[in-house]
Formats: sequence, C-alpha cells, structure tokens
Amino acid sequence: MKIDNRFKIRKVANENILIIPGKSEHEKTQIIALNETALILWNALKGRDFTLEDATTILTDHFEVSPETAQKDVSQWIALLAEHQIILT
Amino acid sequence: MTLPLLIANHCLAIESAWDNSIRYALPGFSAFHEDAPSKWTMLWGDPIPLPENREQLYRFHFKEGNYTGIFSKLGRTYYFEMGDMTMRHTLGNATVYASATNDRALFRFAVWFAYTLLAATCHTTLIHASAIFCHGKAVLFLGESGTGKSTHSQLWLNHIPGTSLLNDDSPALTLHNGVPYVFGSPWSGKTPCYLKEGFPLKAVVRLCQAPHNEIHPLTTIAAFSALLPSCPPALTHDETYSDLIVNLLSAIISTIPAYQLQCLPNADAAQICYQTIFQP
Repeated sequence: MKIDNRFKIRKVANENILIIPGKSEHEKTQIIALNETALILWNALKGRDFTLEDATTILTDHFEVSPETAQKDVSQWIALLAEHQIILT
Repeated sequence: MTLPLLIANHCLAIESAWDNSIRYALPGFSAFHEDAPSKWTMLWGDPIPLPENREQLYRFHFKEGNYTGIFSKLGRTYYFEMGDMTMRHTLGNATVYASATNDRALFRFAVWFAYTLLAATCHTTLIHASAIFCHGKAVLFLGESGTGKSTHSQLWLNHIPGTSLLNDDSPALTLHNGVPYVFGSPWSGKTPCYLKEGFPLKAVVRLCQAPHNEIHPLTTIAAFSALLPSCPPALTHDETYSDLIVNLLSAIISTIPAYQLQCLPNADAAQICYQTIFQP
C-alpha cells in the first residue's frame, strides 16, 4: 500500500492536519488531525510502498509497545486513511 | 475606463474599454472607488483561449445566473470559465485577464473571483460570513447557508447598543502587521451594506440552530474546520492556494478566540454571545 502523494500534512497553529477537499460543491471538506504517532507513521512511510509489517515495525522502534498492540494501532490508522482514499491499498 | 477599488487596503484597478457604466451599474462598487496607486489590475477584453490540457480543479453551480463555473490550471496559470466569461491569471502576476460579459451578476462575481486570486498572495481572502463591529472591533459570524448569520447580526443591531453591520455576505479577512482585521467589501449579499472600513477581529463565532442558547469555545481544529469551508472553495481545491489560505487561517486562530453558538433567533442569543466575547 501507499500514501497518495496528492495529500500533504499542513501545520495549523500547533496541530498537524490533512485536508480532504469535497469532490464536488455538495460534498463537505473534511479535516483530519494527526497525533504524534500518526505523524511518525506518515513521515516514515510517505513516498514509498509499505506493508502492515513495515508500519508496525516503525511503532515498535519508536515506542515501548508490544508488536500486537502496535499492529492494532497501525491497522486502525491504515483503515481510517484508506477509508478516505489517502492510503491506496 | 479605469475603476480603482480599494478593498481591505489592496487596490485593484478594473480596466475596460467596452463599458463606462460599470461604476454606476454595480451597487457597492462606487463606495470603494479610490484613486490610490493600484497594486493589481483586472483587464477586461478579448476572450481568453483555454488550453485543452488544463487540469480541472473545481466545478460549481452559480445560482444567480444559472451558470456552471469551472476553475482549472496548467502549470502556474489558472483559468476560470463561467457563461460567456473566461479568465486567466498566472500566480505571482499582478494582472487578471478576463473576457467581456454583459451579464451584471457574472461581472460582479468575476471581480469577486479575481480579487480572491490576487489577494490570497497577500494574506487576504473574502470569507462567507456576516460581520458586525462593536466598540471598534469586528466579530465574524460563520455557518452554512441558512443557519441564520444575517439574522444573528440583525439581533446584535437591535439589542446590543453600539453595534453596526460591516458586511452581510463576503467581508475581507486580512492580516495587517500580523494583526487579524475584517474589512467591508462591495459584495454584501442581499443586504446593501457597502463599507470600506476595517476593524481588528475580536472573535469568530460559528452559528448553529438549536432549541436553546448556549456558547462554548472551539478547539484549534474546530475553529479551523469552521473557517476553511467559509473561504473561497475553488481556491481550497488547489494545493498552492490552499497553502496560502491555510497560512492565513492558522495566523487567525493562533491569536483570535473562536466560539460555537447554539442559538435561537432571539435577543438572548445576541446577549450571551456579546457577554462572552466582550465581557468575559
């Protein structure tokens, strides 16, 4: 899977956000705020193909967390971004 | 003829060889006429050729004239087409070229659009909101169409002494020496309120209809989410213009409080809003 390179993180006040413009005038623009973990994943994985294992390893390298917990968090992160077609699977 | 308009401290000269009645035909424009040196020019003339391979960024319906507007780009050059009007602007350039139209509503909108293209590079945008000023400070009321922005402004005018309407549809939001300001503009929706004055922004209020009156502060993200959809949607569908708008909004929400007001259309709604903003 891969992060769609049309999306980028923007800094708003002290937050890191993604803007998902509505595809038509009738569709609302959505805004996703990234927490520290989501930001680490994004920066490590943008611009390349990656697997669930690659993403899990990034978390276990950064935090004292079991591979099981890391994989659960990563799966949620992927699911949310895939739902908005930010991660292309 | 040339019509220089001073809007939010930026002078846009409208130049046209085909019509010398623009100034009088468009309500609101004459109030902004000022013979200041113009920073930007909007030049009305021949039709603009549209390159086949331009990338479409945003398409919308313009109710006033039943037109479809299409915003597109190729490289650093942006195109806008609606009805018989076509427009071209290259980012960083001081001129917007547009083709002549006889439709007044279209002309008005085209000038609005051209101003947003030029002003975005100078941390300024036109924002869909109703704006009042009170004790020398401006307050912006935001919300989707039909939430009662104009109604709420009217409640302030009726019940909060010292309040005046600044603009009822499309005021200009800008940074002046880093301080957020709101200025009136020649576009004020159905309310003929054409003030060129500007005031420091005191607060931003997102309105939503409710069976009660209640106000609470918005988080940074919620404030941003309230402001962004109120900015020109065509621009926020382009990456470069998005960056400019996001930077402006980021500066605004870093310094100005934002609130959500759940409200009824009554005097009490204006009172609790006023007290929260001006007498905390």
